[in-house]
Amino acid sequence: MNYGVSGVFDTATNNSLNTVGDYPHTFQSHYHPHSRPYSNGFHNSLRFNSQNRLDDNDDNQQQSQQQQYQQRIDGDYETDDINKSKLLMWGLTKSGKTSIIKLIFEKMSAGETLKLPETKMVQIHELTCGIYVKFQIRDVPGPKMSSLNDFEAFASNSTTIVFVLDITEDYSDAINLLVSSVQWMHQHGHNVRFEVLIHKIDGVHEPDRLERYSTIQKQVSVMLHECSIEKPMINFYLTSIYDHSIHEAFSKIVQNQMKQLRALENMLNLVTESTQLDKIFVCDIYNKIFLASDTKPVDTQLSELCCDVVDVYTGISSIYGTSNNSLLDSMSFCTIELSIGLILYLKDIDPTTALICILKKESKINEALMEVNLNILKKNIQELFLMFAKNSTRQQLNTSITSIE
Amino acid sequence: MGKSGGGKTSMRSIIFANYSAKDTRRLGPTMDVEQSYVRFLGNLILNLWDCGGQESFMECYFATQKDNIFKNVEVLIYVFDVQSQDLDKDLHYYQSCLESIIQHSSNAKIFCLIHKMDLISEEMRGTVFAQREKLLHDVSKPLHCACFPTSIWDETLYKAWSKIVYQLVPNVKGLEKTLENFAEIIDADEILLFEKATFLVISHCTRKEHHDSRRFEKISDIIKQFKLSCSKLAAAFQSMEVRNSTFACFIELCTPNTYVMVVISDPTISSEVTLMNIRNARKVFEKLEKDGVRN
Repeated sequence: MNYGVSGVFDTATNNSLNTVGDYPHTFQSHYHPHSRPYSNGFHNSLRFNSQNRLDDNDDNQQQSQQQQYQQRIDGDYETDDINKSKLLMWGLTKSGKTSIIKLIFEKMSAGETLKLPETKMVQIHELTCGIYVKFQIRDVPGPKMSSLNDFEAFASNSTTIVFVLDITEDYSDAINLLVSSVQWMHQHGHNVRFEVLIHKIDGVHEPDRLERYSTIQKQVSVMLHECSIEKPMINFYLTSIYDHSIHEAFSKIVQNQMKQLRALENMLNLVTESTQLDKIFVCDIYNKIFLASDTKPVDTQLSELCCDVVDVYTGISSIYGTSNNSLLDSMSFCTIELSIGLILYLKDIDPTTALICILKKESKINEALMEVNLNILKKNIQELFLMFAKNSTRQQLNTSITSIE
Repeated sequence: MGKSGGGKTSMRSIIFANYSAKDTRRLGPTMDVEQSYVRFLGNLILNLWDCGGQESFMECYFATQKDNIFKNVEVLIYVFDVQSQDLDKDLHYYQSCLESIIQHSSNAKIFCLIHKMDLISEEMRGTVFAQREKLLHDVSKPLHCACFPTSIWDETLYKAWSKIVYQLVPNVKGLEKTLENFAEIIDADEILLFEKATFLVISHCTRKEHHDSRRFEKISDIIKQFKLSCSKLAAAFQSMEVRNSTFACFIELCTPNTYVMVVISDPTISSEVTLMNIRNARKVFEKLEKDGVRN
């Protein structure tokens, strides 16, 4: 926080967004901390707030806390290249690697991704989910056959490899490529996680899908066993760009990159255990990726519905919200009551992430109490993220963490 | 009515039968005339005649079945596929339709939907539509037809169908006057009235100008998509509140067949006040609906 304004600008332009390929401009403006689109909104909303509230003291305290939080976000916005996760999109050509990135992170529609040309150059995307979960995705031209020619160059420094397997084509080549990639990594002593997306599953008849999944999984583990690779770090997911499965799979992939995940999950578990809330998700509203949730199991359709709540919120806010503020500000919320006795509740954490909660209608929630609880949770999640960000940037300076007020 | 493959059954399925745009791929060609009865606004029954567009059927309509099909028609909806190679033949059939309409139901309102506009590139859409509109206006004389560009992949579908069903709502002027009064009293920026099953906007009152003229159909689209997701869980949504620091929007049941959406941008008005106002207004709207049916 001792940087002058110019110092902060320099850091940002050097570190962020060194993309080789194209990158949508709108996406940048949401995440650029220096245009401060939301800080004005913050202070405006606080002014409104103070008109309603009877207790001014409480309000002033909240206002000063928000200002402090604002300063701390800007001060600590330094990417640390060493610890950042680097993902590599790998798989045969035409398997769907670029389409997935464009669909999730650039909001391209599924139909438009079919018109994308083959990727010829390596494209590096520096991405954030929420404000704090930063990672780099490398999108490379896929080989036509299972050859590892460029793999070494592409996979340098990767911490995770996202392997896209097109299940509508003959996938034996793809499996060979996967196994040889795992072997290569193992031989060179890199401890790399493989996330395999069994993609284009919409082209497979529903009853056959699970069968394909287990066939592929078995085949790969048998082949790896033969190379004497025990306990490889591989996960398999069934995905399609035409439904929610790709968001779900990518949510899990992003969660595996997050250092903050365990702490967040514990926090959310504590809240669901002690309040009437049934389930809580932390979701990035632009990518619709779930950053965390409490560990209670949930119906996939219900979690899909929670994603759709985000769509409803962003749709209606973009029509009726004033355009110069960000869509999600400190007074944002959305409640939807369903006929099956559930209430879906969306609340902001920061301008890009929201809390989505599911609660039962009959639990007779005291609204004011829930508001207080969620505000406390929001503050703690903000503090958690800040703490982790500070920890990683200040590690070398060996400074102790400033105390939380 | 319209040529085979134009999109008539797909549109009908999306608006009235809760199909999603993707689901319409499963639909096959309509054989002869498919009649369906659709409940609209609770007590109105719309008798929809979806006429298969294959040539053999079309010939039949203008010959043997003429009386049956063209008598007592309130609304004729003709669907043109914008990519059709055979514009002359399309127009020929359209004119035959008009002739039969003049003969049997001269008071019918005529709507022409220029469909599958998503297949035209965005820059060209305005000009292509304007051309077709002019052509159809000329061909339809002395009758008047209202033209709309539509596509099942965006909100234009809802705009066209909103306008179509607006013609059929009883006592629509009384409804608008009541909405205006309501908006004045509760200081709302905008109030929309939706039909419950189709979520088409049947009436609205705007007290504060808004820059987006396509917002009604966008909202129909957003809510319809959400309803479809809910239906996967065998659930339906009952009410909704969306707010941030600059606006508050409430979607509540108004009468048993309509939903009302109230948009307020004054942040000092609390949610409870607005919800209470809506609850109290329900009685007025219900009475209005009953009166409309009686008349």
